[in-house]
Amino acid sequence: MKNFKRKTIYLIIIILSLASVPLRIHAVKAARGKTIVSFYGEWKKAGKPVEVRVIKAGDVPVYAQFTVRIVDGRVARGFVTGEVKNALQEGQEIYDPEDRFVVSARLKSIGAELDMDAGMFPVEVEFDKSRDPSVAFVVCAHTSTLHNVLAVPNEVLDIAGDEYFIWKDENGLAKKRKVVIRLRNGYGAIISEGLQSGDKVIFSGQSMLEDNDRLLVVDAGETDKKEQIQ
Amino acid sequence: MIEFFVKHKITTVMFVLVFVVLGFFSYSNLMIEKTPKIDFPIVTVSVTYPGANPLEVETLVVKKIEDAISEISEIKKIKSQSYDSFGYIFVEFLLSADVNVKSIEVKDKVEAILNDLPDAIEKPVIEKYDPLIEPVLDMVLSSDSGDLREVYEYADKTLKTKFSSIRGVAKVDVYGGEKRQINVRLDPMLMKQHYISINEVIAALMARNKNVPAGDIEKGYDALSVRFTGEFTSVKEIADTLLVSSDGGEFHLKDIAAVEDSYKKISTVARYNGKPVVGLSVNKASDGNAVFISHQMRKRLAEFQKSLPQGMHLEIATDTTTFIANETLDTERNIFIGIVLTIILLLLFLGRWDMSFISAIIIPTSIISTLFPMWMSGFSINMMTLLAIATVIGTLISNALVILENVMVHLSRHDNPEKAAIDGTKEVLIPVIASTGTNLVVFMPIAMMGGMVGLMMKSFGLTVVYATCFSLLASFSLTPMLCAAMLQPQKTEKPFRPGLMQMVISRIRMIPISVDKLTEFLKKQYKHIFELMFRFPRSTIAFCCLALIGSFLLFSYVENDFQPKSDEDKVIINLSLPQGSTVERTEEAVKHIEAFLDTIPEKRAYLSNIGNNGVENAKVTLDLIPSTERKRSDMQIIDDLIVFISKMPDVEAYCVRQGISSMSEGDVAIDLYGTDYTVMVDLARQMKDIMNKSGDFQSVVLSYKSPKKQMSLVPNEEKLNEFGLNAASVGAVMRYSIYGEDSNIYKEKGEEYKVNVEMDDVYARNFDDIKEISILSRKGLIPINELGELKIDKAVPTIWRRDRNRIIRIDGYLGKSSMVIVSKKLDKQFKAINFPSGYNYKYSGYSEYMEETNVELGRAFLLAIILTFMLLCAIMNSLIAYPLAVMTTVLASVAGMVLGLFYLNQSMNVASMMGMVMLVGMVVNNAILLLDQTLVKMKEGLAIKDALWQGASAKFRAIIMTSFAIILGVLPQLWSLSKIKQSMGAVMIGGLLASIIFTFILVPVVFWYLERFERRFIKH
Repeated sequence: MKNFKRKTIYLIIIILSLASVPLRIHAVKAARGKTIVSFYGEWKKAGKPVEVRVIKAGDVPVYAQFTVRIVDGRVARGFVTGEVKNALQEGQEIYDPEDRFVVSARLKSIGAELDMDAGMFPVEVEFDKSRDPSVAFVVCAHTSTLHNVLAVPNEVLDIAGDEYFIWKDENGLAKKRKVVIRLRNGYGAIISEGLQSGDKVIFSGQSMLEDNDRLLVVDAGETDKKEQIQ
Repeated sequence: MIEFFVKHKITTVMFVLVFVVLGFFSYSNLMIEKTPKIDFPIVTVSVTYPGANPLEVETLVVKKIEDAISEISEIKKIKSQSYDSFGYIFVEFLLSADVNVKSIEVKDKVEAILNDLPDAIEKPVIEKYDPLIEPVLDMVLSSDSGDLREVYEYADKTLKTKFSSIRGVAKVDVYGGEKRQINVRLDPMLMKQHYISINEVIAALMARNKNVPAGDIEKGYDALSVRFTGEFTSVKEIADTLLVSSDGGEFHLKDIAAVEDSYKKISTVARYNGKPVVGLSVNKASDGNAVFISHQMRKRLAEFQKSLPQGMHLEIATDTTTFIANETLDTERNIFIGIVLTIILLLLFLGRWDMSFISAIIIPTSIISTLFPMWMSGFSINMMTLLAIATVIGTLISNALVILENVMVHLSRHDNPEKAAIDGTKEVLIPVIASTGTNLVVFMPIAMMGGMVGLMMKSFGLTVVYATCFSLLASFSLTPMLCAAMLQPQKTEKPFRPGLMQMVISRIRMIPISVDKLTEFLKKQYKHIFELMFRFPRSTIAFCCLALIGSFLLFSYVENDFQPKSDEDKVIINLSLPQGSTVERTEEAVKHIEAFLDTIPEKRAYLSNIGNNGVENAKVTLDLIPSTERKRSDMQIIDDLIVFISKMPDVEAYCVRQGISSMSEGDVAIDLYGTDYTVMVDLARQMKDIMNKSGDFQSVVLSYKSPKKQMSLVPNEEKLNEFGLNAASVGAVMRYSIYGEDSNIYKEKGEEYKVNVEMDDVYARNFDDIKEISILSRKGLIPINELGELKIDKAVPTIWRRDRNRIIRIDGYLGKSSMVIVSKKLDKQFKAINFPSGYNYKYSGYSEYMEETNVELGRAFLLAIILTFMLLCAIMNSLIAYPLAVMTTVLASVAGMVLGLFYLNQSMNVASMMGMVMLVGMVVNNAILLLDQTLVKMKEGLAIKDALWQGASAKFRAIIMTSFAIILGVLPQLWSLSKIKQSMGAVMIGGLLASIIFTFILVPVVFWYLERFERRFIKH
């Protein structure tokens, strides 16, 4: 009886030891198989974060920048090239280049004669208040308007060789689309092909994108003047 | 000798005390460090090449330096990285190399080719590199006024000098803030009006800003120094510098430029708890003591704060020694708990205070004495030496226990304590020497291991050797002497008188009696098993073999990595924005993360370092409250951070726990080799995709970053000739206009400040603005864009090289599983990628260290087994039965080790592998005890089986007691903060438990077979 009891205990110990192995293996497998929090997992679940703007065709103002120096109280003098001179009109608003919605001066006069020393045409602007005569001021003036165009900031353009691309949000998926640029300069790119009015263009987040990635739009809106052209 | 120690009690006490006293005095001289001091044979060369793109840095600087350096002998590997304006070369030498000599050789090689390198590079910086070194402290200086230029000025000119004066400080790096600089911002429109280009402006300023010593005028005995002092004395003077245009017009600098006493364009930003600060990283010298530096800084903090200008505040942002102190305290606490547990075990087994005291006294005497040779060897108190002491506690006492147990046997026979002590000790001389010898021969290979791991383990191995030697010394001197002096044969207990105190005492006395009963019960059970073993000896061996094989099969369920990371109350968030991002954009992203950090309740503080490694990169160090006071682990906090950061556009990030080393490599790092970069990028992206889809990684980061856009002027040779210009002059004008030219110096109050001349930012923003840059040609002032075609394309990405081949590094940061397991899985999946000929990948980083460690530890393990076997053969003068039977426990212990790791959820890593080597010496001790007694009984004429039972029965208690003493000594490691210690604890406990079981089951049967085999076939 005593021997039987002992053998039973030994058997129980052996069974328990053996049973613990698959249990532990199961725990290890569960730990290895568990879903972890990862960047890839989050992007798969919610999409890659992007900022999107709806691009609409519109008029885009073009500005020219020049430097003036105070000559008398509020009046400052500077020079512009012939091309700029032809686009300017006396009395037009002059802006601060940092904020083109703030009118800081008006164009007082445009010299008709070329200044031989400077090789440019003189202009005079009148500030709304008197300014420090020892400092030179950079100002900008509206010179022309591009009518009914689709414009995007240069930063959103992707380049590969001679071709340009933009990333679009098409039904929540990222699509890299080839575009043709009609005009491009320091203040933006006017797209002539590959972009339609109303298209959603990805303004930030494109560095992480691959075609057909799901998108998580963290900021959406329409382009305003400020974003279209700087 | 033993007789001498027993009879000369004072001499013995003094003999032991000499080492204890020396140990005490050595303690104050021992440095406290995180890891052992190692001279890593690594030299780095950093070269700044302002304005150059990565390709130019690679071809014009890095390649040339690599070629020159590669001629040096004993190079193990050369790695390099070429960034915008900066190149970095990392040369690792063989361990046998003297890093100081190699550093000089590298310096000589670089200096020899200086003339071949571009003139525009700054002087190459050649330094020895220690991957384990990190700033001791990060101090932050802020101001109520928010004037960061003033703050930087004070940090750079005053505090830096003060901090550097502290003993052991090698350098203090200042980052963030605004560095004072005189900015000359040229207006291109006004320059055109005045008919001048930037070259003339720079030349005029250089010519004006001169002090020239003109020599001495001597008259009689007197000499009068003559100097021309034309240097600028004020910023106004700079603004008033007279310029002459090419048409002869004269005007002042201020007429065409804004001259400002301002600051250098910000490229690094430091923020502490969301506020802009200036950071000061205090780095220790290779022989400096981090704890001392931290202590001194804290001690003098009040003094530094007192001398600060009004409104400035100085704080300690991060202090790495806090972790060292906590870690040291944790290990010391574990050592203390280990000692207490061991003493309790002795009390339970022995049931007598005097006996427990005699055995337990060995532990402190050995540990304290060990400090003396540690100091003599130039070791420090660090995680390795402390781990060595923590691991060896139980082993220290085992010799004394064996002696004590035998003395008690003699005492019960002779009733003369002195004779019992001498005879009892002499009798167990061989097993004690044998078991200590096996310990020593095992640790010697550990101490002599090669590779980086060998350097790390040297102090570990030798500390154990020192402690074991002192325990042996004390066991043969102090233990018998104390036995003779203190032990008396147990007398009959006095009858208890009723009373509370007596009740308590009687209860306490019952515990050892119960332990005795339990031991007897176990022995009785073992008797049955013993009979069963010899009734079915082959089945017993088969059963044991099956158990061993089964255990080894479980190895695939044990995680396997190089160095597990623990919750060290610190999380590091590394983030990168797209190439071409400005520091302001990176700062915006950091501010966004900081706002999230403010919502984390476990946050203690955070320090953001933006632009330290390129303006697109930032590092945020989040300090957490101690893990014991937190509800969430650091990994749970990292999970939350990942969820948050994953919703930030254009932010590539990885969050890591603070580790032992400051290595920036991922848990799984892969170098992809090839020739064509486009193909490599494609392959790297496929590999990254596979890694991401594996579900094991929290983040996967490529060293290749999509390059930023660049505008380039492709010159038209005809135009250049027509205008009488060359590429160098046009390039210089473009560079000065956009990047700036700052070689001119303005001096004030003995300090030097750069005068930077560049085009006004208002005219250096857009594509069109480049047209505003003018250059003076023989046909007059012309816009620079007339000299060629302006093109926009992609810049060259950062270029990484290894052993002079281009590579792309893929760093994977694990969220689960471990390096080796995941690497094997990845290897299978990478087979799906079609690698063209000449393209392949190789695991690097930790994987390389792991490979090296496996080889070294494997070698040490093999050597340990051979030496142990040889020692056993020598001691017992036996070649087969005794040594082979004893050695079977080694095999058993390896199985136990696997089971320990398997059941206690620990990984196989460098520490557990080391534990495995250590076990070789420890686990054989039980078998030595058992078989030694068996041999005695056999000599008395008993049959093998009977002798084996007598031996096992006689040493049953001693084996159980010594094994559990060792187990209890290392048991606290399982609850340690450090994963490394936990895994070592698991290995030791698993191995020792297995050794107890197999010593009683496998060893007798194997010995029985081998002894019969030896008797039959081999005649000694």
